[in-house]
Amino acid sequence: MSHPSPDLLLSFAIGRADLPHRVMLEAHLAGCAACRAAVAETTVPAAALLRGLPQDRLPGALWDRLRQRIEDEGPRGAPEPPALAGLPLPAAARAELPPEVLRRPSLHWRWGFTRGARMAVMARDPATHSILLIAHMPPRRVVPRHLHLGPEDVAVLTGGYEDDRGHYEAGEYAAYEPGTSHEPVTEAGAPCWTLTRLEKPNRFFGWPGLLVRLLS
Amino acid sequence: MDSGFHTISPHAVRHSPAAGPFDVYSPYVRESMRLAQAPEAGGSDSAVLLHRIAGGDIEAFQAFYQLHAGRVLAYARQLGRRADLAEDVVQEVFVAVWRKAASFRADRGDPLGWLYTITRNKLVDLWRKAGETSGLDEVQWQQLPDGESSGSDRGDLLLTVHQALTRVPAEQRAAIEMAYFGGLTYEETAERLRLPVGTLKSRIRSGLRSLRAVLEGR
Repeated sequence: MSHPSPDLLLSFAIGRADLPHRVMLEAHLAGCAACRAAVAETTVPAAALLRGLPQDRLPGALWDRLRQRIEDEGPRGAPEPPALAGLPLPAAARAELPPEVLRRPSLHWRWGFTRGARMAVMARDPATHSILLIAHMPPRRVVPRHLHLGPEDVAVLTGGYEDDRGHYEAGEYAAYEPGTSHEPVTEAGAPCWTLTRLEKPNRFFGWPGLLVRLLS
Repeated sequence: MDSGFHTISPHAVRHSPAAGPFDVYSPYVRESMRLAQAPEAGGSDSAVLLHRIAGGDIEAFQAFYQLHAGRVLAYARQLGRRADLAEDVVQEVFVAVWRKAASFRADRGDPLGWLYTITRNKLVDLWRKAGETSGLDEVQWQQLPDGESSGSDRGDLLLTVHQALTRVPAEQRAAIEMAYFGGLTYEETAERLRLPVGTLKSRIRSGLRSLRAVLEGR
């Protein structure tokens, strides 16, 4: 089982993880008791601090404004936003997405990096210049070898893939350092859905890479 | 597979989770989980309220707000450089509570730890939007009031955080005060302490283990 690093879990717990990391970590935490435990341990002193604080007086209008915002959200169980319909995104990860993403009529899918595969940018974090991608790949497909110009994190939502370093199943989390390269191959059986965080675009190689660049 | 490129191991962490989820929790977190599973009479426990909020119960949401919003407001006022935005932070925090309540599980630990993470996220977002790198330094953090455990819903918390921190090694304490409780980024904290960022993070994690042990009376 491959997990986020302890440093990343610490950043998440103290509010220093950016938007793509938050979405991906919520997706991982939904299925990983060990990492939920790690986050729980990390926030013990924080909870103690918050519990020890005296209550500041709350302006009455604050609750009224909050209640209006909640009512504007619509009832629980409302149909999922069209852009996210059919995506295997855990509810906790979905809840991290900003409203502007949820309001989109659809995601802008790009095809062609491998046969039958598609990917779309879900969100961007302007502070860290990172992007969050969701990708769907049919079974037994090869993603052309590419170089990571910046860090790349991958959370596997369904299916799995194998690369030079190992095998990653649904629920696992992999992080690749800048300067590394790999050629993932999706496993047989179920389609592979992933969330990916990038700070810089990947560089693809060879004829398949040229095709990817042209289609991008 | 020979691409001509040097490949380096991914930075993924591989470890085997313990045999069962309960094996990996401290006594404090286990107690939080027990409270969540066996709520006090009247169902006022925060974890139970979150469960009801997840189901769309607006009364439970109001109860959770009344229990904790004043603390979040106090925290936001102290941490934010612009006190006039503190109410906006509270609003954003509780909108997130409404949206994310279903993701809270008993084994995420103390509901207030979960609420702290949301609050910090909203504060950091606010600082970034305002073009500020941080809001609070370690000196301001030390001015935060630190009440006794009496009146809280956990009678086993005997030390305040400020008291507990005095028992943590000084170099770990400084790192925690600046980057964990305070508003400095890792980079700002590392610069002040003249440490590599990686060493700083390691020091914070060691310090948190020490602090937890003190808070738990171990």
